Amino acid sequence: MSILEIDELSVAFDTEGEIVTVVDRVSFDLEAGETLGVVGESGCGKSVTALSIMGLLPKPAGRIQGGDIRFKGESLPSLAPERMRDIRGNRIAMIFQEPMTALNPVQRIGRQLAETYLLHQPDLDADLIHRRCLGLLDQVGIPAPEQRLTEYPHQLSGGMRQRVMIAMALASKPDILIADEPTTALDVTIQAQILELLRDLQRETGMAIIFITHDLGVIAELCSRAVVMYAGRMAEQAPIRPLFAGPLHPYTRGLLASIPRLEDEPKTVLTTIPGVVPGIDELPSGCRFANRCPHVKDLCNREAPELVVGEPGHRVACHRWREIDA
Amino acid sequence: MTSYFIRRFLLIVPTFIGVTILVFTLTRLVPGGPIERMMSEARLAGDETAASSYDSQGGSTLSDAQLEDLKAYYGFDKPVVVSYFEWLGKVLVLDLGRSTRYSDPVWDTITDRLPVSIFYGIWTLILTYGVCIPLGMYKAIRHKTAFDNVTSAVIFAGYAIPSYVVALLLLTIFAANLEWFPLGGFVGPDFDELSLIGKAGDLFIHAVLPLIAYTAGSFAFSTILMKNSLMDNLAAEYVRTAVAKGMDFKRAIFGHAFRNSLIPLATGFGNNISLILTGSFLIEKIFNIDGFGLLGFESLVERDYPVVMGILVLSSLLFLIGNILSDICVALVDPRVKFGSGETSQ
Repeated sequence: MSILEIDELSVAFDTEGEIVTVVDRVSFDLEAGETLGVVGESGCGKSVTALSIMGLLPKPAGRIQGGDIRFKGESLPSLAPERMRDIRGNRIAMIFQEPMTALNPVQRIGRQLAETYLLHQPDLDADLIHRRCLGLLDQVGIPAPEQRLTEYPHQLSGGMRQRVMIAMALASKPDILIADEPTTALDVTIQAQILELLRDLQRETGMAIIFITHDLGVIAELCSRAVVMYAGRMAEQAPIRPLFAGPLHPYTRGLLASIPRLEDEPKTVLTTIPGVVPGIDELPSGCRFANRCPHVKDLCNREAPELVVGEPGHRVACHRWREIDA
Repeated sequence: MTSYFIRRFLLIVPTFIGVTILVFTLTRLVPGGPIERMMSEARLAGDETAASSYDSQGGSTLSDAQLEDLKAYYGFDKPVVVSYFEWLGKVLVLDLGRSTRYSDPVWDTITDRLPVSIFYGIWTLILTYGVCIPLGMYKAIRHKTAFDNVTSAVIFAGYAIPSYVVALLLLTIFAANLEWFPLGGFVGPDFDELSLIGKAGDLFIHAVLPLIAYTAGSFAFSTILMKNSLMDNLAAEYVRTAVAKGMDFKRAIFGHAFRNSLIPLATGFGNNISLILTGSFLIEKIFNIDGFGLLGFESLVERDYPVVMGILVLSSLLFLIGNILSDICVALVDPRVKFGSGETSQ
């Protein structure tokens, strides 16, 4: 059963009087307990989609222009702020890209951890909160938790801080964890540890994870399904195996072709997708990938492709996916 | 950290000596001085009594012997360094010498003015922080609204208009024309006869206009600093984290952003301690208040060097202590600050 349905979500930003649609009719579902990857390059709208779910769009510039987000059938954008605060951090939690700046530098770890409890379970007594915080730090693999609780964020390494962020998100046993590029700012070994941790935690708690990244490798490792976004629109959505084995959208194909492989001859020139992403103020009216697509036809420049079911569970937004296949 | 502050306190000594030796030497180098002033006074007196009969000693009314005596009395017969250390020795036992103008001990002259200056200094400080912090916060939350724009215009106007112009305007409008407030003075002439409440009221009504003149210019800096600092912090990711935990925005401001945005303000706090004693001689002159600013200015004009040095001793000590106080304030609000110990983790 889907616990989160995103239905034709459009988000607009007001930049100096001009209204720009940065997320355009994005739709996907999240099943309870699954890990869904959202992948795309910087500025494709994946973080904005996440912030819309949390109701954390920067105000007053950003707003939801159309569509709906339903959590267990309840429409989030139309919720009263108080009710949304009950869900935010409690049923749906989020961790961010920069563990260096995501924690308050002048408050002790313990206090920041306890805050989630104080907000959502105000009747817990201090002693119990303290024990639970210790348990959380232990759960996310932080050694000497008793001591860490009394420390400030600057006394912790980047990986430790991200673990603290994860602990904070886990505090109220959320149904959904949104992880917005949680490993991008960390070095590779720490990245692997954090991914491992997230996978273990999911197995233990059964929460669903929306994992936002630009790293296809991470998607392959962690997710069961993935949504590929390009310039504010969905390009493709599929379970991991078919997505990697038989991508339908030319953009996904380009992305996969760009990954260097171990079996390649040394010094092979890396494959790239020619051209650049159109800026948000110069988006074409047709397919947004048209200016970089090797298979572009007149129709692509005229009309934006709709998201259609290609194969079972596999959706793609391309006019020509059938012709270019194989 | 403790060792850092001990070192800072010890460093006061050489700095203090440096500052005072510089000014002390300057007082010897600039033209004019107590002796010249006395000579011209004596000449004026002489002119009045015997306008026509000039003295045999080339226009001077003092004999050479008298001059030597005077020089010895003021210590001008010795080299600068010697008399500096004589002066310093006296300062150490809290003897600042005697005013050459009033012949009163400098310490008494200064302590006479102290209550007035401290009264205005402390109120300026309270008003500045009491207004700037809430105003800056409100402006940050209401960024680019009508309220923000209007208050910005007002505080920048206050910043741009020199304080003595503000003082004169206030005096003309509210004291001279409307007669709402007295024309000047620290307290009214019948102060001693008033009841306790009457005294407080009298003090208050005399203080309103000077305080406005004092603070009008000081709002801009701290308010805008507070506003920008809070806006930076509101946009910071840890505030988003707090909201993502389910906190409402207001609580995130007070619980998270507020303390962080006080850090830049804390850096300036200690220095404001020395403002307590400086005072503006122009405002004091306009409102006829006998404070430190006026005393300092008059003693400079009159070449009353013992008083000049006495004020310097107090104000430089306050300034040096103020700097250390700033450091302590910063360390109090920001746990990342670790003075002295080489331990940094980033």
